[in-house]
Amino acid sequence: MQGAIDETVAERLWDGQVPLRISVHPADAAALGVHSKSLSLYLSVHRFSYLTLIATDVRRFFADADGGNARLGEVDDADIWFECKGEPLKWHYPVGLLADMTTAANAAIPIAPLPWHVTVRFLNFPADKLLRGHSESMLSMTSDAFMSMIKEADFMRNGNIKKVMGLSKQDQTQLWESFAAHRFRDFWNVNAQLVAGGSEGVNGGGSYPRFVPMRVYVAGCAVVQEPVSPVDGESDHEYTLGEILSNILPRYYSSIPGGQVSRRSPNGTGEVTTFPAAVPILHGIEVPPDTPLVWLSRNCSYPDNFLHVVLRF
Amino acid sequence: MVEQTAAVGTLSQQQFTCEAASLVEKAKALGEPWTLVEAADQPAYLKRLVSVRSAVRPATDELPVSDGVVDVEEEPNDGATLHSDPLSEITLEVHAIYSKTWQCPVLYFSAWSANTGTPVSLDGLKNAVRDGLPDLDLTARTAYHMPFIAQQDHPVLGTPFYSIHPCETAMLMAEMLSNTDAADGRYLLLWLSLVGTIFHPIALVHSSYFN
Repeated sequence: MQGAIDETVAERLWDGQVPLRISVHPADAAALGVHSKSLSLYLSVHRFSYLTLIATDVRRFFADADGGNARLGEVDDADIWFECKGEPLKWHYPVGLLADMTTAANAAIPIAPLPWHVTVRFLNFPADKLLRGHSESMLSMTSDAFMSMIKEADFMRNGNIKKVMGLSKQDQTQLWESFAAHRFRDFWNVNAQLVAGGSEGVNGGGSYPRFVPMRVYVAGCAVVQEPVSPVDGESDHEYTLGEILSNILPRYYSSIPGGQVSRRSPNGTGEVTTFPAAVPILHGIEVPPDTPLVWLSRNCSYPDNFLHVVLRF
Repeated sequence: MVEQTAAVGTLSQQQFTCEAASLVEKAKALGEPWTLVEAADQPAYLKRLVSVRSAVRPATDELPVSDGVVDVEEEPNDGATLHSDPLSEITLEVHAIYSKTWQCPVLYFSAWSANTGTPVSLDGLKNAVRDGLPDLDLTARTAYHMPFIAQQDHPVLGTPFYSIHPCETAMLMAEMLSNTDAADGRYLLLWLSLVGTIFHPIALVHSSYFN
């Protein structure tokens, strides 16, 4: 197994962006006295970024564009949220994951029309659906959420959090700061210490992680996070993404090309029906199912060290 | 492909399910509202609703105790008084959910107004209880420098719940199990009595559960 990072792949993914068209929700525009209702902000956002990192700029843009709308200028950053087609967007998910989930939810259109149209909201924060920040803390909450994922990934790979905790204080800080400032080299100088190689102490520094940090998103279902081993301990066979998905989600995924899966139909009749197998999407791309999971994890994980795979039907 | 390794202080999913079922049986006998929530395609989790007013005595008036049972005093039939008393309104919902990643149960909780159903913040919950649930501290950090309590998406429902970070659970449980006689089959009870201390004076389980 090659332990090195494929920098070309990592850097291409790092620079990936989603073009966004952002407009103010009509109800909020009316309530806040925003005159330029038809105005949209066009913004190219890194797929790895978070909505909280653009929220302040978005609010300022609309406040300024509206002739210095004072009420908009006073909105607390913790009250800003985004939605798409009436669904609140989770700020602690990377933008690329949100875009993939939105695309996957529109079965009729395999590739969603770009720019991706998102509505910004300044009122009525849906505290029953989105994690609530408090004033002045959205950035630190985002960095906490990001670092929590990195530590959880470390735990999944190694069975402990020693690699992250073994980083110098400066390196730990640099992980988030270089990420937020989009500095590829600085980020990977630290991140490579976490993702390269395998778990320490197992087989004298074995080269495979214990489990692969991966979450799978299926519309209408709870997020799937299974402890999956990337290699067959006996035959040394490296499991492919397709093999893993058909193992953990047999009702949605089949590794047979053009294969079908059976599950109860969602209309409540309890009738078992066959469906075409889902397609795994990562970073807006259909992932070839024969990609070894360990390679995918090392080179194509989000900066939070997780693979966030969306199933499209 | 999907495998588990047992480490000290951890609990297998099978053990969790088994101990959860016996805890619910015991709670039923004790007349306490622990239930097992089972959804299609999802592992079951433990749930308990606590009416904050009946679980703690309000700061302002001492409730009469008769036959060892705390009587919940009837509110005067006065809408204004009822509305101004935060204790009359808050429901605390506690879930114990098994995490395959951390190989231990994780505590999730939320609080809401029983009258309106709107979410109550951590501060709102603290304010409703005398001495303010000091352990519910959003600034506290674990040994791994993670927020001890933070809002997270509920792993089954997908909606925001507060949760206690599980990164120290196995370590604490290993110590607790080694210091407890007859700990066999009581991981979940011991864990609930440990993690439940954050809600003191509200108790999630009490000594009768161990009989």
